[in-house]
Amino acid sequence: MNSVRIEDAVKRFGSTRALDGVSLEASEGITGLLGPNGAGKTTLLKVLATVMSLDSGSIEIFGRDPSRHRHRLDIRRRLGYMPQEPGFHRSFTAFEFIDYVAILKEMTDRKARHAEVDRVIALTGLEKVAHKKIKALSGGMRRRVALSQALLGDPRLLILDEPTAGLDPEQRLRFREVMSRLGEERSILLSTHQTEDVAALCPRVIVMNHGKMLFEGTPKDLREVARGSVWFSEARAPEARLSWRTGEGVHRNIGTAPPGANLVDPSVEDGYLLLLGDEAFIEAAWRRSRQCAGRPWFTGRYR
Amino acid sequence: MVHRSLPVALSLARVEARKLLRNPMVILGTILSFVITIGVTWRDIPVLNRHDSLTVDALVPLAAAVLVAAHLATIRPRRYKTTELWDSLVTSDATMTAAHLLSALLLAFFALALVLVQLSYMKVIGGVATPRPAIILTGPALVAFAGGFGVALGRWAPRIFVAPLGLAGVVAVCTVLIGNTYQHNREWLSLWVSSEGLAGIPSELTLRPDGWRLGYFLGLVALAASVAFIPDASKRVLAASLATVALVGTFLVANQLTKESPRDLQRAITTQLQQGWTAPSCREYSSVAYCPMPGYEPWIDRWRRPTEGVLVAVPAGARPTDLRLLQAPGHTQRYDEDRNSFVSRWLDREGRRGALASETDIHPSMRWGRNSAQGESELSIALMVASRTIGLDSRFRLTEDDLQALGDPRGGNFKVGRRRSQCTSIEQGRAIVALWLAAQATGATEAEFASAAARVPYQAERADGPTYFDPLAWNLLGYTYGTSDDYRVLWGARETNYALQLLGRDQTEIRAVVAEEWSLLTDPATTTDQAAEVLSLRPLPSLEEAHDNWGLVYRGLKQWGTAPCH
Ligand SMILES: Nc1ncnc2c1ncn2[C@@H]1O[C@H](COP(=O)(O)OP(=O)(O)O)[C@@H](O)[C@H]1O
Ligand SMILES: [Mg+2]
Repeated sequence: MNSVRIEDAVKRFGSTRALDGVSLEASEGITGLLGPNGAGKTTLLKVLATVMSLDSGSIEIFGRDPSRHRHRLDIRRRLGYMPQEPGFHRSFTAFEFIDYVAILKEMTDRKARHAEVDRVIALTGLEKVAHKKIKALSGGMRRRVALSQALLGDPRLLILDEPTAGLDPEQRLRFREVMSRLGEERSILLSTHQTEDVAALCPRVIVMNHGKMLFEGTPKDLREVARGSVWFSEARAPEARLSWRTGEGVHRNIGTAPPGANLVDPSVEDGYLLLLGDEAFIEAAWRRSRQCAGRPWFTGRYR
Repeated sequence: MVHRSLPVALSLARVEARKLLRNPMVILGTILSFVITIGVTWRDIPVLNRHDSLTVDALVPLAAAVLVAAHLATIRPRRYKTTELWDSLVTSDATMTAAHLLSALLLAFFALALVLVQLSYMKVIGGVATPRPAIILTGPALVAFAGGFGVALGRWAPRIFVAPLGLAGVVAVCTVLIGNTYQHNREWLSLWVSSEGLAGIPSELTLRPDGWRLGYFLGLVALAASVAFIPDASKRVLAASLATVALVGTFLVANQLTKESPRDLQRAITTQLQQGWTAPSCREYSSVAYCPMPGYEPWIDRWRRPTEGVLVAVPAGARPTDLRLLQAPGHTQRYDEDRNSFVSRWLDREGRRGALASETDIHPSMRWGRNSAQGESELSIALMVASRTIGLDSRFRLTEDDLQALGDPRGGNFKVGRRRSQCTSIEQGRAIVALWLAAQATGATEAEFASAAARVPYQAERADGPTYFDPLAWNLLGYTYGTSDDYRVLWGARETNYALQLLGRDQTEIRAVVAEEWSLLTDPATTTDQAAEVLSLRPLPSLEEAHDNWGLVYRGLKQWGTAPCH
């Protein structure tokens, strides 16, 4: 049975259509939600996490309808949610905060609950800082606290909104390790705008923009979108929509390849960028500028 | 879903209560409650059925802290923006509200523990009598209300500045209720009342509506709790109905609280008061009868020490044989905590009839001092016993001689046969002996007398030291004044300083001289100069000389309009 089924979901904020007819089904395994800022990922995940209702369309989670009180409680009992911007009780320690959420998740047996809190803390590698106040923790550590609480009670449905934002590479690897282990028996929906996460983790990828789903398939499928559209050249290719000089000194171009171009194997990111068009290019360029600040690498242009 | 919500609420309440207890404001409030209790009882032996109300006052700072802390805890999800995450969890807002309210209740149990610890402390430092159950519970109820009020504020107005504002509002309302409503008992609607009661009102003679007041507090707790649930959509109707019920209940109780206490209760108390005079229960030691009010029996030993300290220095044959220490509340105090003054009215009436006065009894008060105040209490008893032994009596009827001594001030209160309750012992040699007897009674009376005498130097010369001259030792009057209507003797500064000289000399020798010259020294006609000579005291300038040195004219007793002691 599908854990999640959404049909023709619409959510408006004033004149903005944050969700504009989204339909999707998900069962066991990890589904990556990819899209630029404002694509509607958070809105979709909030709806799935039962903290937001739809304007129209239907939604079913574990065969239950979240608009009905009883059903909503059933869903929530089997749900782990990590909001994009989870707040923290700053004066609580990491342990206390997670423990507090555990109580809110109806874990009332103190001993068993503490054991469960210890388990998720170990899972996310927070042992060393578990008894530090949250206000003293780094951003990456706080993300892990947020993830830990989502994992409490081993929920069948995990909804993670940008779980890798702000993690350093080592933390990101660790996260992937945890996710791949968990993803086997439950449904995980995670949003990101990091294509590497999706490529590394998700058997299934959904690309969104402007509240619509643009793509649904495996990372391999997404990569294939760009096959024949990525090539190397000595100088910046005028045909390229996006072009940058790689560490090896050659230019990597994405766009409509000229005949005889030195085509290379595309990456998931290439497929994603092609799919989204200009806006994604702007975003990608901006992101790269942050990753390699101060180096004259960016030669992209917009069409 | 109660079957799942209740354990969640309980678990949360435990966590929240622990958080509250670790809140710096709450810790400060806890410390303050001890500081207040220890401070207020520092100079008084606690009387538990009176000082029990202190435990309510002492919890006021803690209650204020709990109000603010509970509010902060309630608005925490908003302050730290965890509402979105909380919304995805199965626990409802109503359960959270219940948890916060329960945590306030747990704090009330903590407050009850504080109350019990403080009452035990009072007992350990020598407290007498039994605390009133309703009052023991009033302080914790106050803390519960403060917590509930904080939670309700947090639910209705989740802004950080609201709690201090709410607190200020409560303080303002209570200040208005306490002030200026002496006659109407509206003071009892305040969360705290003025603690004048601690000054020495025995609760046996008091109509304090403590049961109604506890009920009023519990009503407020229920009101705050039900109001806190109203913002939760799913419980709105139920919560609003409960709030209405609580409001009506509180109102009805408040109505009782502001009523005058029933006449039959008032009568029962005045009857008891009268019985204390007419049929006291007494115990006798060395032919002195000690008659404490019920519950004050442990104080007999405290009264015995200064009493026996005085009597042992009196020649055996001169000791009074009918000495009785009958504990009684003084007239100057306020009894009726229900603010209807019925005890004062009764005492005034009986006092005018002379029914309460006794020619022979000494009336120890309802207070006994501790630490630095112990000397005050002992000296008070010693002064009364010494006055009685010497025969210095402040209660008599004016004679023709008195009027003459006063310069013949006819009219008004100055008529032959008028009852007096105050006299002056100035220029009477026996005053030196009385003061010395009282001062030498115990170590504490000696120290107390020495420090009191130091404040009334008989300064004949203007040269250095004080910038005033006062021939009267007014502060010695204070030792017996607030205690009882008996023995309101105005002592002279000159006699006081002669007595101080006696204290500095060999006491066996003095006792021998006093015993030998007893009848001369205690004769009302013996002047201060004569007594000083018999006792071989270093002469002090006469009152005339002293006045002269200060550029004043001594006019004798006329100067004060107080008749000489008989
Ligand atoms: N609470 C809101 N009020 C108004 N507009 C909103 C709100 N939440 C989201 N939006 C708008 O909906 C669109 C989708 O937002 P969001 O779901 O947060 O996108 P993403 O998570 O993919 O960045 C954006 O245009 C955003 O501005
Ligand atoms: Mg988002």
